Amino acid sequence: MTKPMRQSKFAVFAMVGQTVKELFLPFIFFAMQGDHTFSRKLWWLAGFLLVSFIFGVLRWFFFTYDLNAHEITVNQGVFVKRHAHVPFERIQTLTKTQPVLFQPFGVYQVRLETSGEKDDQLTFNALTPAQIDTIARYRQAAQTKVSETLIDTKQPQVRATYHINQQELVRYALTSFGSLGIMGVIFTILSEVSNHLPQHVMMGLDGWLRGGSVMFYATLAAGVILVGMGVAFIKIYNQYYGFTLTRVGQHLAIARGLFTKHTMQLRTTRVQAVQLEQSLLRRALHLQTVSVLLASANQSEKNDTHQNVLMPVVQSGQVAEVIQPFLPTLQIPTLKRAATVRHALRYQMQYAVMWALGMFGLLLIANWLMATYLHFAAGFVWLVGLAGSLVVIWSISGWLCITDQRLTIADDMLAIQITPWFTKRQYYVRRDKIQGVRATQSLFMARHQAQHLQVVVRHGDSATYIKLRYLQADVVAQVNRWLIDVK
Amino acid sequence: MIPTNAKSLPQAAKKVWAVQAILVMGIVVLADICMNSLFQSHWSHAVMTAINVIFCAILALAIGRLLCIPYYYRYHKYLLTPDAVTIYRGFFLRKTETMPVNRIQNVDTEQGPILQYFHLQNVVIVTAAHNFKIETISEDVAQTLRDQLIAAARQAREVDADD
Repeated sequence: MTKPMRQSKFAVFAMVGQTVKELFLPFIFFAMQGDHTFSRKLWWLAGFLLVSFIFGVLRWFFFTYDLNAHEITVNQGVFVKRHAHVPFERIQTLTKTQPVLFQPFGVYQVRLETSGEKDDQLTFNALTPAQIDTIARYRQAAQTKVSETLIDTKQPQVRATYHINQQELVRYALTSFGSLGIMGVIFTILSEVSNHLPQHVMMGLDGWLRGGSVMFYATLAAGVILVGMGVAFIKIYNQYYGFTLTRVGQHLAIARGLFTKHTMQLRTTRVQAVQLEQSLLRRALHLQTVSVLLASANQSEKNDTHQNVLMPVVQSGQVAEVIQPFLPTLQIPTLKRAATVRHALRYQMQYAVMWALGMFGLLLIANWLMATYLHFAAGFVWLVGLAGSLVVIWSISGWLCITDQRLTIADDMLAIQITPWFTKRQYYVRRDKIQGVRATQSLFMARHQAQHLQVVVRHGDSATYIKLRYLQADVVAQVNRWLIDVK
Repeated sequence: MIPTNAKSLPQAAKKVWAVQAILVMGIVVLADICMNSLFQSHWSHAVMTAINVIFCAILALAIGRLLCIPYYYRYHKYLLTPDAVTIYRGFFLRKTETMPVNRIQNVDTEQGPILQYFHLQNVVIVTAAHNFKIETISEDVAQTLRDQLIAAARQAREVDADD
């Protein structure tokens, strides 16, 4: 067992910041009382900062942690003492983050996540690399059942390493769809700004825009798209710069980031499923992203989508070969076409067109309401164009959904491929990591012996449902039998 | 789709659902009457009409639920085997959910006042990722089911641990 240790002194700033945040509203409330002069307000501010500083230092002083072979204990609280004991066995991931400000001081924020269902985790504001190494070694030793005497002496051997190269990183950033989101943000900002501009400026701008030719608008649109793509590119480049994946025994370590550096360690035994993902664009370029679904206490919606990426971009044909050294027990069986019922494609297309028309119906109602109350409505040509586009988009999506479906059972591994909304995903899940299966069918489907299948896999602190559509009932029964077949 | 050896819920389940639906209807009607008597003179006619329409829709759903009780009961079954627990629901829209017993993390039972009166319980089966409910089964069966599931889960885990 170690002596109680404190965080790096840099953590005082974070603690002070936390106290400032907590006391800010009461401070504003008191500072606003009465008619104070400017110098009095300055005194108030100085007092507030002093109290925050003292509390921050006290918080830092009373925040200690100690380690033994089995658990980490965190003690904190100035007035109300809290002690958290977390067995190393329960720790799923160890995440290090180093924002730009932390870099000159060489300290990291550290998060230890457990497998509990609620969002329970231990967070350290600032630890030095030596402190983190000690925690990581204790954890690794506890999880690999190495005897205590080896803890401080033996450094485990690195078994495999993967570095992203510049070319791959650029390719990944360029094929990211983040630019669409950024464009959305740009448009939102522009519309917000336009609401607050004086009227004569808006009139001038309006006149200037009206005077433009088609070429002018095309250039403007291209400009916005380019800016959006540029920003998205920089964002992705920053997030994945220097991406390195390392395997040491049963542990994987992921390090990435240019300005803010992230490092995460996870146990391969806690991986629930491996996911290979391809957007439409990456599909054309034969590129795939490899990530894992992980059992952790992180709430799924809070979950950083980048957190579980093992390899940002890999050539489609080389995935098995590249991933093998990192997940040696992972089998990647050849995917076979899922046995759907005879007219599955037709049923899915009917369903898709119905959805598209449903959406169109809602838009028609919105259009009618706008015409009635705002005296502004889209013309007939626009509506027909919109209906056509919706039908085409939904139909292509429906077509991909059925034609891309794959399902293979190979020993203890279930391999599934689906394409919901143009993004192709392949899942490789071991039998013992599947929590359950759901089958649904409407009366119409029952006549054709068709069923939809959902495979339930844990992801974060909740579940991911992998859905296959219009399968033959026999296939669903086969998956059911395979799942509950205990050796 | 539903195997013949799947078990039905006790007959009293129908009474529980009926009481629940009637309670909802009573509360809706009462709330609507209160809203009308208190706010009719303060709020505009359009707002009051919208509120009444919403209350009527909720009332219609509760009546629908009441009328459909024999249907829900007929197609709501469960099956417990040594390896898995399966629940079946619905005829027009059929749902089946299977959970292997060795994935079960814990089994909870719940009992509100209505269920207490009829000596029934809900059993909630929890895995690492999600959970599902077997609703309104008798206390004895719930207890047996709970013990059976926990024993099966423990045994399945021991087999896994031996591996």
